[in-house]
Amino acid sequence: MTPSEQTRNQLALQASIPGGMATLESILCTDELHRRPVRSPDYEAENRALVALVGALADSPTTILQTLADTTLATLSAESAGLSLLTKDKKRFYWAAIAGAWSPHIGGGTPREFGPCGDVLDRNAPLLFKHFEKRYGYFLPVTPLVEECLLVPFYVAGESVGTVWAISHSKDKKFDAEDLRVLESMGRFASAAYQAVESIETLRLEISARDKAEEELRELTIGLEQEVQMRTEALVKARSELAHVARVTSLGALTASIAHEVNQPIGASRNNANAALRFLAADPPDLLEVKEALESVVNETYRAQRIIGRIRDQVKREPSRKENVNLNDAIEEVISLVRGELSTNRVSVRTQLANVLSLVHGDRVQLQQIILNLILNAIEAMADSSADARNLAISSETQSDGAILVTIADSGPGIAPGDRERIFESFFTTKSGGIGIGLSICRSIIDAHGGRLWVDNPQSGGAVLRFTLPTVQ
Amino acid sequence: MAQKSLVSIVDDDHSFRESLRRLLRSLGYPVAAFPSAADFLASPNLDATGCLVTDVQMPKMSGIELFSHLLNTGRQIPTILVTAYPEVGVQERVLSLGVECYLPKPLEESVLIRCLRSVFARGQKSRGA
Repeated sequence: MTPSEQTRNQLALQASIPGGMATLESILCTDELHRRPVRSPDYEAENRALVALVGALADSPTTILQTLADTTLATLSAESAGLSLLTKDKKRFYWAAIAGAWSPHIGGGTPREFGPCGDVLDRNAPLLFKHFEKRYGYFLPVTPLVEECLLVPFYVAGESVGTVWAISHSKDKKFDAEDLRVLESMGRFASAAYQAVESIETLRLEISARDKAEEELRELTIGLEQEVQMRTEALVKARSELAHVARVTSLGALTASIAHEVNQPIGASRNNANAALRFLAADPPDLLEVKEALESVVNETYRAQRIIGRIRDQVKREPSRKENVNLNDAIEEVISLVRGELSTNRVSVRTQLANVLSLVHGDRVQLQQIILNLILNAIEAMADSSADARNLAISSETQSDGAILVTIADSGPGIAPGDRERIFESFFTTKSGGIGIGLSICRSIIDAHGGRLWVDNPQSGGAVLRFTLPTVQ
Repeated sequence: MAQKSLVSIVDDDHSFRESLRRLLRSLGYPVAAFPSAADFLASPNLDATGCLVTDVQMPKMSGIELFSHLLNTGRQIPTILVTAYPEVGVQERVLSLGVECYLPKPLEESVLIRCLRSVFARGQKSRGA
């Protein structure tokens, strides 16, 4: 054929396209798929492709569509392959991924109402096109021209959202039934990939929203954590203060309960002894009863011993915790502890605490127990004084030898000269119902701290208790 | 009319309760002893009791509550209160309520005897013409 004949043929070819549009039927040859020589299915190749796709979906979901296009190209031995997605407004298909000769045309697309993808969705079936540019003239500039194009639809939630396609640009590659089978497989994968990609997009939005929410939550958490911390610290502090108060007041409560308890064996002993005497004086004497009564007496003395032993155990059990103590603070704490007692008993307190006081090295709890004991003794001593004459004076000062001197003075009847040393003996008491434990323990504690506890001669009535403690150098 | 001569003791402390029972026995009184007010109130000895000797500090019902309960239920049993925690204010109050005696532990035997005698002498007096 002469060049001029070729040109004439081309012109004739172009002239034979009426208005540029062939019928749809004239460009379809789907039936050909099944008339072409049958190839046995290459499941292995298909499996390899799918496994690779699944792996790619996991590793890089954002590029899965391109990977799908690449895989389709390779598995079908096509010359171009790609994925078309229906836009949200359903008016266009755009080429989301392309592999092979048509790669440069990525991002292009076709109208929904007039194009091969549209036809596939309309018929809801795979289609094989040949030279679809005869109908769809907009393909003419999209080179290389398409010889055959095989398309399959894919669905998401029952709705068709796009196509997967393979293209041959030459007469060498003719698509067959096996190609269709594999392409449908790719189509099913495309469904999954599409949903994954959609999820990723949604996820991305969610993530940025969540990041923002997380940031706010983080700030809120920090605020909460700080608050929890503060409250925990306050709670721990309150709890330790309470435990401290309990330890300081425990000795008094302990001696009170022991006073009650030790009266029982003493009372029972006396009853038994009195009964023994009576049984002995009976006519005739009931010696069996006498024996039982005296045996009971002996038992009761053991009971009394056990009860009293509990004080010593209690005092010993608390391990001595030495620290540097500010006696003014210790005194003020104790005064606040007994505020209730003071007001109930109408006792007025005057404190004269030195401005500057060196620290004392000792057991803070024990020292406070002593101060508490002395104050409670004073309150009790003034119980019989008239309500307007109950005065308690507490002072602290530094002596010339550097030691600290604490004085507790009351306006009660005072301590008889003969009792001034005796009150520190165990079991000596001037109180009815008292068992005289407090002051002897106080003195042994002060002694253990290297100090002295004594009764002073008062200028004017009342009792004056003083103790010294050496200071930390 | 037979005089009620039973002395009922109520005290949750086992040793003291038994020692008082022994002492009262040595003094010649018939005695019944109970570990709680509830046990005493539930016993058949309740109506036979001519004198109640009860501890004050007891769990559930105190000696003073027991005395009040007896008053409120119309039972006039002469009562001696015994306590390890004697308090002046309490003494005044219970004596004005009609308690026979308010005694501290350990008991002073001669005081206890005096109280018991005045309870039972009164009973004897009421029998006479």
